[in-house]
Amino acid sequence: MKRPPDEIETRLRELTVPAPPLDLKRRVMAASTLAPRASWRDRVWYSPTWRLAAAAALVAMLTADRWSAGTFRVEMAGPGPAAVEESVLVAAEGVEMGMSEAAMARLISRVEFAGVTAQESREQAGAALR
Amino acid sequence: MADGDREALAELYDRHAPALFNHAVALTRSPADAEDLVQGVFVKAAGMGARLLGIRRAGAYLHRMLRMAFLDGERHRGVAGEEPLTGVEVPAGAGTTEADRLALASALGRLPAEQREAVVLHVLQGLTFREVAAMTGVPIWTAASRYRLGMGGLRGILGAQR
Repeated sequence: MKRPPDEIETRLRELTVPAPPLDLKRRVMAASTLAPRASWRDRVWYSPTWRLAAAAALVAMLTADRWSAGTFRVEMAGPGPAAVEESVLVAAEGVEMGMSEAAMARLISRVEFAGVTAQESREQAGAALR
Repeated sequence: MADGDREALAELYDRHAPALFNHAVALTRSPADAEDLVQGVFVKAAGMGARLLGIRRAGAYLHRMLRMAFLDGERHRGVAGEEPLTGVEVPAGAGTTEADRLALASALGRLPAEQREAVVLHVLQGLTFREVAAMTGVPIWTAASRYRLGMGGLRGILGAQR
């Protein structure tokens, strides 16, 4: 329900603020220096549609990344049986040449077991040498 | 206007200058100062170039620019709060005496700028509180509250003068 205007409101409505003087427009036009024409890069950068699309794409990427971390994580594959066999031979030769077993295990783990954790690689290399 | 088009600037002026001038008079209480303020806003807008492309509601944006320019100038000048609102006119046959007009203009001039602004935009320009809020960059309830405080202030000042 709209209340009726009171006396002061009525008196205020009777006032009129004058229009801007006619020469103000001329002064504005004379004093204004228009910026150079916007480039296509500016058009893209300042476009609300582009900004919205960029924000949406970022959110989508973060969501996909978070989702895939739990669903599509690819397990790092360890070395195949042939590689293990070859490593054992190389390690044996290394030991025969005078290198320590520990040093050979570290060396082989760097080559064959890169991509798995350090602890896992040490364990696997040690197992291969035994 | 982002294309450096003077015609667009002229069109922007024609569309928004009258309302901006009203707003500026409400803030500055002086048509001469209002002219400077409005001119400053359009000159600044003309130089914005590509940044204008990101603005959806040019009218509200220009009003906010005007307001910021006023507040900036006021901070530097330290304007006193007792000047009457000059430049307001009473149309012939409106049933209001010259003394009434002066009293009302004086009372409006004594209101704090934010309340005077809300009263003028809502009553003289006939804007809704939503529109006043968009132009002044405040929530709707703040605009309505400023208007109510302003009207209360006017009643108090005019009542005390009788």
